[in-house]
Amino acid sequence: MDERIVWFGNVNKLNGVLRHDPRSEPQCGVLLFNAGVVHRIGPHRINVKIAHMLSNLDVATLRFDLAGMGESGPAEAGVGFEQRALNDLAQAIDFIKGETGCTQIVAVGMCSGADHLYRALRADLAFDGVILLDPYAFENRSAAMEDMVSRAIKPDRWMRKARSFLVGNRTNDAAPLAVSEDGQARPLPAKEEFGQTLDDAAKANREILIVYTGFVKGLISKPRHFFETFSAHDFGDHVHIITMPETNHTYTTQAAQDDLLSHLKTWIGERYCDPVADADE
Amino acid sequence: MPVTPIHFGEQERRLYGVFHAAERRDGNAPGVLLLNPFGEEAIRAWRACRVLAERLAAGGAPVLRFDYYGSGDSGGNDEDVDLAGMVRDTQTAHDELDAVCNKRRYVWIGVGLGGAISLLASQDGIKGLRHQILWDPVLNGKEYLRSLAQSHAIFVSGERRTNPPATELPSEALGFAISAKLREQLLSLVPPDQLSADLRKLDIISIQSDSIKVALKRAVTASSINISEYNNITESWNSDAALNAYYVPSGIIKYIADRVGSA
Repeated sequence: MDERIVWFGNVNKLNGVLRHDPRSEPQCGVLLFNAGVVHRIGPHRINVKIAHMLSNLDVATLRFDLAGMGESGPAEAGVGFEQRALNDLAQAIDFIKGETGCTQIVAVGMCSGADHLYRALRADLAFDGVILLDPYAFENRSAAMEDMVSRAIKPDRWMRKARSFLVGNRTNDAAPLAVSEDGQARPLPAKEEFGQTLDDAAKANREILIVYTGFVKGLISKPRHFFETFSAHDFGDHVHIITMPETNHTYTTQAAQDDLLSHLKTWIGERYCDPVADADE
Repeated sequence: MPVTPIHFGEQERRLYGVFHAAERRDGNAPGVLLLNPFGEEAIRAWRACRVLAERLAAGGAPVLRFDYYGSGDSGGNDEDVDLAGMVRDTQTAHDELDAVCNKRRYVWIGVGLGGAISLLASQDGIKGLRHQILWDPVLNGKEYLRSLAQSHAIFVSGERRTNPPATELPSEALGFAISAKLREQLLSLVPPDQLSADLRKLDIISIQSDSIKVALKRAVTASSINISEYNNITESWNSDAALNAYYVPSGIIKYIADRVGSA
C-alpha cells in the first residue's frame, strides 16, 4: 500500500496523504479530516489508524487538512467557515475519485467533523456514505431516565462529580449537548431538521453510520433511544446506530480504539468491499 | 510562506516531515531540526512547533520538523515506536536536512521526550551540530512513565488519583500504546553523565524539577558548553486545555528564535 503526499483543490491549497495501492482500482475511497483543532492525523492519531485498517480492505483513503488547518493553505477570504469546509470536502471527493478510480466515497467525521458531514448531507454532496462520530444528539426520555437511575445507584459518582466541581478537575461525564470537544458552543440544528436530513439521505440510498460515545450518555446510550427520538421517520436499513457509552469522546483507550476500528471495518466492509479483498481473512 | 511536506528515509521505514525554507538569505543562519515529544504530547505541541518553525524560517533559518516512525504522518503503528528507533529517525532527519540546505551549523530543538532523543542521537557527534535547545525535556524515563500513567488515569476517569501504584508501568497513555520495548528503554533512561564533545551551547527551557537542570549542568561542567536557562514560564503547552485554546507560548518561541539567531 502506497502513501504519498498530495496537494489538491482549485482555490484552497489543500494538503493531505493519499493511501492507495496503485496496482488496484478500489471500489471505495474514504475521506478523513480534522476533528476540532487537531491536524489531519486526528485525535490520538485515529485517522492514521483508520487508514491503516482500511488498507487491509483495499480501500483507498485520503486524510487531509481543511483550509487554514494543518499543512493546508490559508482559508479563502470572504467565504464562511462552514461553506469553506463543504468546498474542501467536494474537492476531496473529486480528487480521490480522479486519483484512484474509486466509485463510492465515504467520509468519516468526528465531532466538528461530523457537523461538517451533516451539512454535507444537507448540501447533497456526492457521498455514498458518511460515518458520524458523536454528531448532534437530542434528548430522549428513556435515555435520561436510565442515566438517572444509573447515577442514583452509584452514589460515588455523585461524590466524584461534587469533588470535581469543587476542585475544578476535568470530568468525562456526558457533556452538555451544545458543547464541542474544545468547550466551544456548538450550534444545534432543530431536531426535526436533523431527522429529515437523515431521512432524505436514506431515501437517496446514502448509508449513514452514527457512533455515540459516553460524551452524550445522558441523551443516547442505546441505539433504540435514537430510533425512539426519530420514530416519525423510516430510515429503512440506511441508518445504523452504534453506542459506546463507556467510551470517551476521542476514544482515548486502546480498547476503545480497537472497538471503533472493528465497527468501521465491519460497516465499510459489508457495504463497500468484496469479501475477497479482506487481507485478514 | 508555503511549507513543503516530504517523505524521506528508507522505504521500509518511511518518515514524514515538513520543510520550511528560509525566507531570506542568511549565510550565517543555522539549519534547524525540530524533535517532537511522544504520543499525545506531539499533538499538543504541534501548533507551537509549527509557529516556531515559521518564525525561524522568517528569520533566515531553514527548518525541518518530522514525525518519528510510528507517529504522526510517518509510517508504522504505535507499537513500532521505540527510543532507539526515534534516535535513528532523528539522525536520518538530520541527514535529510543537511542534504537539502547544506549548512555549516545546525541547531536541534527537542521538546519533551525529544529532548532526551536530541542528546542520545548526538552523543557520538553530528555534522555541524553545536547547539541544542531542550524544551521541557524528559530525561528520567521512570518518572515519565509514572506521570504518563497518572495523566492517562486522570484523563480517562475524570478523577484525580493521588497515589498511583508505585510499580505501575503503563502499556498505553493518552491514546497511544506503549510497547514493552519502549517501556524497557524508558525505564533505563536517566540524565546523561556526558554530552556530545562537539556541543558548544545548551539551552534549557523547563518548568520541571530542578533535578533535571542539576543533572544537565553536572554533565556540562566538565566541558566548555555554554548553558542558558529560560525560566519565565507561566503556562504549559502540555494540556488539552492549551490545545483546545490554540495556545502558543509566544515568550518561549521568541526566546528560542533569539537563541537560534545568536552567533
